[in-house]
Amino acid sequence: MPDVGPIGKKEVLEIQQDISATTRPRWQSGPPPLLGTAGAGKLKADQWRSCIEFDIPVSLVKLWSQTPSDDRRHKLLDSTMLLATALRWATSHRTSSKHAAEYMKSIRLYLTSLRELFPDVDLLTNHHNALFIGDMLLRFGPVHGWWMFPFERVIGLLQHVNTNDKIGKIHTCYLLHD
Amino acid sequence: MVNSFCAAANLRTLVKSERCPNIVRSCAPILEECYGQDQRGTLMNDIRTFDSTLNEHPTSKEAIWDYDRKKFDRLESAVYDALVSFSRSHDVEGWTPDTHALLHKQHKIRGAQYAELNAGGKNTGGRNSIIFFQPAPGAPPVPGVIRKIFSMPRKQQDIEMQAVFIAVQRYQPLAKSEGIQDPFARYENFGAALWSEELGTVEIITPSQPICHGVLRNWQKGVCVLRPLDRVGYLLLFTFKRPSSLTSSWAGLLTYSCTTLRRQVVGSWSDLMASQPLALGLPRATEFHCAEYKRAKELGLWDTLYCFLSQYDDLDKMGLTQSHPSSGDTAKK
Repeated sequence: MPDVGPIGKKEVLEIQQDISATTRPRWQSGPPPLLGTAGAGKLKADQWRSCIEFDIPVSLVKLWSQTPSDDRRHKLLDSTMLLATALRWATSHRTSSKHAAEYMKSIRLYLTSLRELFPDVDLLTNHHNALFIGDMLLRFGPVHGWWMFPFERVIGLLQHVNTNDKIGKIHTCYLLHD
Repeated sequence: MVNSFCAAANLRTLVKSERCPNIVRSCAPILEECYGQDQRGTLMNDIRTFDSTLNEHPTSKEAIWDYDRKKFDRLESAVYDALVSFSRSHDVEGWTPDTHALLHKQHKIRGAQYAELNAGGKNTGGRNSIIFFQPAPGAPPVPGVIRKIFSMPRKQQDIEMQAVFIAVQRYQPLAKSEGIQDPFARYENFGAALWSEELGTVEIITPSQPICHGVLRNWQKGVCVLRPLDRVGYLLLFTFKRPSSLTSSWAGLLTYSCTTLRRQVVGSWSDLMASQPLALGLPRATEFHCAEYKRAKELGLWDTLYCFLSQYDDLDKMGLTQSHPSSGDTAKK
């Protein structure tokens, strides 16, 4: 795990306080109030999305926007904002060639910033996949029609099914569950 | 995965068509019951939104609003004043402002639930009351808070229909004299900005205006940061004649493609199977105004749809034409 130094206990506490002070619509599942601690548990995909869509970028802007532009914290902030911007263009409910171009611009800059900030860390398959989303926005329309959230829901449902490790009984268990 | 998606698209078409077996049709209410309460921004919700709210084709009989005037309440004077001012600037056929109206604690617009600030219940802290709306065509969205939602009768073609109004108060831009620099100005595409917590005067908007929820966080005393959660839908109309080669699998593909465009294209899948030319756009094509058409074009949605469909086949081969009924221009791509 790379050392991201600037995020210490104080910053985590600040982010947690910010999350509690946020008013969001009921349909949006926000991040857990104890984000950054073991008590928060494993975040769901929807919660990760909320984190990057609003909570973490806004907290970081509050914490680090006054730091000098060559400071590592400022660079981390810029990098996070690039990811948040890319997410905004990618998850819009409408799409166009502009959406695709803006997304690609942001995600490329974000990946470049990752290489600069963490030169010892290799990019992952997901980073590579992210470079195809611009093209897919034009081919398949807004992501809501083809993203994997429905599958995440099914996985979540299946994870809660108690199978007692008995292979082949899952269908029965699933029916009982419902 | 893609196979599953295509199969699902075909299934949706089948369920909507008349040749759907009863046994499959009877499954729909069961699924509705299982997933009906889900409000999260998932595909399930997207599809449901499409079917339940946007896809209505009310007949004149259904559009009649059966109301009881005894249930009407007196509007606050600030709201009534705003309504009078609204009536002067907008020409709403068959409607005049009234001091009494049917108040709603909440109202569903294009699948999203909005509530008045003091609705209580599940609207803790006004979670569903913080909105971004477009005050006028072409204007940038501004944040506001819903103060009241109410309905009044509106007479059109000798029938009384329900006209819904939303009384909102805008968050005010930060005064330069306060000397606060907006750090979000550097990240324009992120969409957030600082606003004063002070609210403006009451103004009236209608559900047909672009509107979406917003997320709010206190920044410092008297200042908050607001960001829209983009669920604003712009409308787009296109018509096409059913080509002889439009098979059910093509219909499935179109169903799938239109679902992905969600609020931009609204249509009935059963219409897709019909032989007459059909209009995907608004439930009633007559309500589609030239300005919205131009707006859709400006936003590039027109090209998106063309681009999207053209990935699969030549549009000429499909007999697909794009036209606008009121302007009469037909552009065959």
